[in-house]
Amino acid sequence: MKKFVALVITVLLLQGCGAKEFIPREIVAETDVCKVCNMSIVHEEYAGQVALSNGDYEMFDDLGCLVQYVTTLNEGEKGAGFIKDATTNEWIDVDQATFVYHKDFWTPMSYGVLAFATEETAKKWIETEGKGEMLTTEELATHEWGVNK
Amino acid sequence: MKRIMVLGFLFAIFFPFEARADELDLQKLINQSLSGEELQIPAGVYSGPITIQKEISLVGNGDVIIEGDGEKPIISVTETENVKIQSLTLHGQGNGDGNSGIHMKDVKNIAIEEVKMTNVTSGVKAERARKLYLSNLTITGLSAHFSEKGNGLSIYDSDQIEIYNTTIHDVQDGFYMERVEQLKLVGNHVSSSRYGIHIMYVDYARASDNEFQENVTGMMIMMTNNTDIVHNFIYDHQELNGSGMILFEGKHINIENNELVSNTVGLSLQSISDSIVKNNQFRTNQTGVTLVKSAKETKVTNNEFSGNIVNLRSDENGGIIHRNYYDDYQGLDMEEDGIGDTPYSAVQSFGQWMVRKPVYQYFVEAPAVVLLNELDSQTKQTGTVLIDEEPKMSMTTQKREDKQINFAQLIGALLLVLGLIGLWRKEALI
Repeated sequence: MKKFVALVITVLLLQGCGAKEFIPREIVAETDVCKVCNMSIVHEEYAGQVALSNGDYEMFDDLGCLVQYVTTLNEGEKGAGFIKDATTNEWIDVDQATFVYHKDFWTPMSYGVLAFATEETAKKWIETEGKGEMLTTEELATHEWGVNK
Repeated sequence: MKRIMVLGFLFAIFFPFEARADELDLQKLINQSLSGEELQIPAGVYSGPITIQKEISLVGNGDVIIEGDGEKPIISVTETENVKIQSLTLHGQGNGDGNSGIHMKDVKNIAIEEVKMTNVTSGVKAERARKLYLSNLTITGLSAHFSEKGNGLSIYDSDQIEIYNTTIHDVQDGFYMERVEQLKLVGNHVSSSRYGIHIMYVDYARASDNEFQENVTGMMIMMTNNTDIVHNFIYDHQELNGSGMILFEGKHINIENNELVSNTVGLSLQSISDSIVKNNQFRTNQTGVTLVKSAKETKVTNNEFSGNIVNLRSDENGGIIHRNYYDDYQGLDMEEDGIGDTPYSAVQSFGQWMVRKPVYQYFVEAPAVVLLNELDSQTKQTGTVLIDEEPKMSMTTQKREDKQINFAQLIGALLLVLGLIGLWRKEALI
């Protein structure tokens, strides 16, 4: 019995020492507003969120706002970033996603960048739409976010 | 016999027969009309949707109702110019995206007047339109959460847009404008929606004499330059994230002579430069004005702050405040020049916390916060970012008064008084 209790305690301690797992939370349309632009999130299919390492969540109505916010964080503050997949409407990890930009793609802030879980689905999207430029997560930092007139 | 006639007459008054006019095919009439013709539509109920692709005036003669099918816009106007739509009622069906009033695409010189839209997911949508004149429209959306509804009026990639005296309620955004140049919004009223006005990437806009009431936010102005916001009345926006007016990333904006009353935040300026906020009244808001990253050459001057829980708050960048009236100013005016002898410092510590975490607003009158504010004002620790060197000693503007007369109530009251007098005289005679 003592061995069993010791084992349970050890497992629990090890779990506590392990890397923190961040999971996306659901959007509450009534109260969630974009941390950057203050718009309420009514088009969930474009929404993003950042789970901070202190346990807080910040919500965004557009990928552009999320990227703008992440650049203001200090090292270690960001736990994980999530964005909605343009085809499945499921949350995907920003760091694992592939992005497609075109000025004609509508997003809540008109930034025109959509997210996809895989490179294949992104390519397929470009083929179907007949337009779009593929971007990686690293390229988002240098992408020119702004008015798409 | 006479009784039957009287009963029949009364029945006709209280239960009027609604003429179905399906025998008149509106689309056929439009197709058969000549270019530039005015089509007078007789009173009745018609089936939509209809499409207009030629120069034509569609004018309702009496009560003209066009019903939608819930799948397509009730009226579509595409690739044409010089179209007028007047005196119609458009009635939608269902709650799908297709249930909209009027959809215009690639059009020029269009006038829509005195059109009522009921039970529609969205009212009017225009893409690539030039010279739109919309006036006296009434748009009533569906009863659902705003995230499930469309906009009252949405206009994209267009220019020279004028909208007058339009009433909108129960939609997502009353007016949604994206990439529009030369926009004029005058005398409109939006209530019970997400945003009254929501404009993005708009150049040369003017919003004047509009009224916004009980939306999440009255005016949401984003990435917009060269804008005049004048003489609007914005009140009762009291949700957690509600504001009278939010301006985000813009320059050359003139906010003048507006009344912002009973909002969670009266006016929020975020990343606004080279702009001016003057002669406005901020009354009974939780917070009058919030300045975030807006210190650069944006001046808040000659405004009146009264009855707000917090008059002004800002982030660490502060802002330029000059010659405003503050009801919590405690200085004296020994020189009697109408200007306080000592500077006004906006109470800041808790204000800055509220900027970071809006939910802190619920603690605004908590004993600890009151104590903190008192310490602030005594020690003047935080007066460096929001300070008015020349605060005004008195208010100069008049509050808006409701001048509307309710004639029904007036007649009712008169009848009641006359009845009472008659009763009194009758009793006096007995």
